[in-house]
Amino acid sequence: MIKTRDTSDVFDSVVLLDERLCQEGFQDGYKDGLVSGKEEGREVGLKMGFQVGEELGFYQGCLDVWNSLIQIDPGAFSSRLQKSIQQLGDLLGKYPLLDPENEDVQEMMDAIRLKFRIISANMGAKLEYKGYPKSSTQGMEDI
Amino acid sequence: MAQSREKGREEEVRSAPEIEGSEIGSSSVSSVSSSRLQPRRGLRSRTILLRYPPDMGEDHASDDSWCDDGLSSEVSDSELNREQKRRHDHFYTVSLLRFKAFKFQNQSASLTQVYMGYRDGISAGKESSAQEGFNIGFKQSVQDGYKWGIVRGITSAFASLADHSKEKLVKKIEDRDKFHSLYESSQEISADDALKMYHNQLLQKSQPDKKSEGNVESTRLAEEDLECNKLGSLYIDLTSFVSDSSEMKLNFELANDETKIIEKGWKSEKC
Repeated sequence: MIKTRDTSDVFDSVVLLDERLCQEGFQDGYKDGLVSGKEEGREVGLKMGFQVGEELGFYQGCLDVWNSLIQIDPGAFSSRLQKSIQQLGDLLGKYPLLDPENEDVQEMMDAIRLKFRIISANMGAKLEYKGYPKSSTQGMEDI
Repeated sequence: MAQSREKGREEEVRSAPEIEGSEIGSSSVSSVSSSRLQPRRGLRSRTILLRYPPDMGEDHASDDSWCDDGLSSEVSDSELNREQKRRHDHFYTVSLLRFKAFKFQNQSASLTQVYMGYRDGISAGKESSAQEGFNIGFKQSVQDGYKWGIVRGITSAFASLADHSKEKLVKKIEDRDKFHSLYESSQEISADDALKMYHNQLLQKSQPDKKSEGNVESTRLAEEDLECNKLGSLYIDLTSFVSDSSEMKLNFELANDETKIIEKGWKSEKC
């Protein structure tokens, strides 16, 4: 009886050794992973942040020009168009630019794009955000 | 014969100072029950008792005849220390010897264990820190991207307006020309180019000392400087220009807090 305890304990130590090695490796790896994961995440974040910022800035810039024009010349755009511009402004104001984890971000971006396309079509202006179909959407999907 | 040898062995065991009474009892039982192993084990336990006395358990770590792998020697140390406290000495010497044999056969196996653990650890660590890094990077660049986007947006929207609207917004014809040239220079930069420029700009910021490394290097870097700061200088051109010479009211609300700091940074880099 004692002999069986002996042998099982010998194997215990062997099994425990494996586990311990595994755990030590895991902990080392975890530490390194934290560092490299943060760095990789930061790089992706830098890219995404710049792209999202650029696109939103573009819409905001357009909006600023239109609003300034409306201030000076209220008759420059039809009332329907002015309403759309107003709505675009609301959408842009609501966009959580500094909260990348917000889950509504993609939906809001789509709404903004749609609104912008409606406005530029109504204006008959050849105005579009050129970086958008490829870089932004692709980037989102990649992640 | 076996009996007398066992007696002798038991005495030897008793003479060891650390042994507790209860363990001696268990040892004698076990010695009897496994008496056919006795000759071999007796021999080994004698030699090993001399080399690893129970009260100097820590010492076997320094003996590298059987532990040549730093990582696993640590493991087996604590393992053995526990054994030592719990058991009679010859039990642990036996397990130690078996363990040693096992270790020699399984060197690569234990390394594999470490490696597999490490690999799992890497991915787990990455997973738990990637979002944090992403948020940091995102917040760092979103403002700069936003400002560059504003440049594009304002110039593009302005360029697309009808002429009489342009005249209302910007009174002087030379200012309108300036606007147009800004529009053209911003159109020359594609979204991908802008991203690359921004990337270079960040790299440059993170290694400011590089400039002093030789002439060739510094001229090359000066060119890159110009290129990198194009986004920033266009933005500064535009904002100062817009506030000076047009009727436009710009909304820099989102970028406002950091605008000044970054503008300063850009300006000082330009100098």
